[in-house]
Amino acid sequence: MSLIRVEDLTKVFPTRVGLLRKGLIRAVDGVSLEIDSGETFGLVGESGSGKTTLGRCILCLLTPTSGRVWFDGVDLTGLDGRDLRRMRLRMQIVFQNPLASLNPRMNVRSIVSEPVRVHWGLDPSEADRRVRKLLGMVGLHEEVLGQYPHELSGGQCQRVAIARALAVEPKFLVLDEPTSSLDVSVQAQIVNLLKQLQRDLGLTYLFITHDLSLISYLADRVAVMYMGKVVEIGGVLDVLERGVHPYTRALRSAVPVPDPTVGRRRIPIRGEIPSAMNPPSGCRFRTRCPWAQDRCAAEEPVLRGVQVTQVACHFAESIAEEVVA
Amino acid sequence: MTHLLEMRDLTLDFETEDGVAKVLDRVSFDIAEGEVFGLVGETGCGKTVTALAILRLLPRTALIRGGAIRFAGENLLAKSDGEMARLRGSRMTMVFQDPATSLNPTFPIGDQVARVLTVHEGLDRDEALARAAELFGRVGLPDAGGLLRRYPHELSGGMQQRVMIAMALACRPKLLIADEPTTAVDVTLQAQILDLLLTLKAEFGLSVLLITHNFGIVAETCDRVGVMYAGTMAEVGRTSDVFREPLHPYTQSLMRALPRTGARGRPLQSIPGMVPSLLVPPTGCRFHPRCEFAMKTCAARRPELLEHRPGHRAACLLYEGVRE
Repeated sequence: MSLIRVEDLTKVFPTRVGLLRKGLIRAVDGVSLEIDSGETFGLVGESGSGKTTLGRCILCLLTPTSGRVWFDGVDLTGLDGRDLRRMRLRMQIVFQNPLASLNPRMNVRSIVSEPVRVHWGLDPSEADRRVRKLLGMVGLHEEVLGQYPHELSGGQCQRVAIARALAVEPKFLVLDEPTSSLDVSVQAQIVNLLKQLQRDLGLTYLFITHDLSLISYLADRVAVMYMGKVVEIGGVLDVLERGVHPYTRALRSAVPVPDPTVGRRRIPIRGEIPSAMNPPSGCRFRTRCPWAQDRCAAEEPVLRGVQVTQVACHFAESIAEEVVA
Repeated sequence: MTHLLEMRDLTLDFETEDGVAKVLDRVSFDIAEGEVFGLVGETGCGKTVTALAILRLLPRTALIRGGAIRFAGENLLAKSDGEMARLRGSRMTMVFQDPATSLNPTFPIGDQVARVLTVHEGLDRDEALARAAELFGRVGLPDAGGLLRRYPHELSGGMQQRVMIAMALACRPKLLIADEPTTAVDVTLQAQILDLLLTLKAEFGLSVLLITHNFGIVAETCDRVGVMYAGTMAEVGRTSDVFREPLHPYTQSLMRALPRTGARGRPLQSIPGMVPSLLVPPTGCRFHPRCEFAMKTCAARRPELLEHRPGHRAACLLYEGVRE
């Protein structure tokens, strides 16, 4: 049963280059996907691929230019301010940089209690009880109650941000690179905490990251994004180990493996991501793709089932055969 | 094997408003000619300070308490500022994490690379620009001629990092220090830049000190590796040895904290507690408060970085025959 359904979602940002030239950036372009209740759905891609924009559009923190987002059967894009606020109680977000996403002038008690004071109208003593319970859930001692974000470590700040997100008992969390600014040993603590909370509270996660090793460890399904498009989607191991889209394969082969006995088999991709102002015609990856042919410039590939994943590539079948051979 | 760089027991403090921080405590390692040596560890463990100490670019608040740094047989700590200035940028150079802030935004990139050559090798401007154009070709920058007149902001992050590498290699250095050179870029670009570094290392006969927090990068690019913890060197050895059989409990824990497919369904190992304050570092072994194997002696006695397997050193009392 899908909790989230995204249908043909597009977000266009107007932009200005220099004094007079104006342009449009299609940050997310025609994305459709479903997230099942209780699963961890991974969204991977490099900077500028549109993963954060998509995450924010799903929460309606950004208004999609077109397309629809259903949450538990309710079309969020059709809601007005008050109804949307009510829906927001059921979905929350944790950002990448915990220090920047916590108000430096508020102590931990105020930060974590603010959602329940505002949304649930709890009085101070009720709110305080709720805060203590939440701190226990995220593994923080009560000594931090009076402390300010700058007095806490990165890992502690991220625990506070998670406690704040969980305060109003949401069902769905968008986790936008929640461990990217943390060291590996602290990342392990936060990842373990998120897994445990998911089990205990029956949460559904949209986990946004550029870290393929992390997503292969914790996600159930994954979508790979490139320049605003989903290029491949499916079960996490199907995509990351057997995926056939040339970009998925290049991305996977570019990730350094922490095992010196594994020989490198890099699939080199040329150059860098083209300007989002004038994306290539047809398939957006064609300018860097070793398999690109004339058809790729003329015709945009759509997602279709090939082997075990959904792939947007004209030549997915022949690539899949070539890889096996 | 001849050592290009030898660091012996480097110990240094930082004076801070809150007191004296014991930032490095008897850090030792060697880098051989033509070798890529990786320095890994978590934030604040002293990787960057170690690199800055080699270049003598430490802030004024840093006080070197002891130890030696020898580069090509010469003691760097005994050199005058002028002698160091001549070495830096010519025989030993550095590439930083964020190329956007390392390049001067007000000069064309060609001039910035050429300046290294006019200062260190006494070339005139035209000769230097011609050499810069040639270097741009070597580091894979397209349209090398026209690119010389571009400003840093006109280039992508990957191209900026290539310019930094061209600048670092301009005078054919012996040692290149790369401090998290790919942390600010995406993985596909990271792969390109690491491949480029390895190619250039072979072409120029460089030794590279690669600072990173990414064990994957170490596994793929480094011949040997040093693992640092809270200002101390926990373990040094060939990359293959350290990954196959990590000796120090800290290294072991870090390896098990890495998320990977094979660990699905099981919790990741995390290290209990937090990195200690260097103002009052733990006595004895600095890792002992977080170590699952800690003994009573560990709080009292500081372990030496000793060779416990051929070419594989670790600073841990478990290997010194201490049993409780």
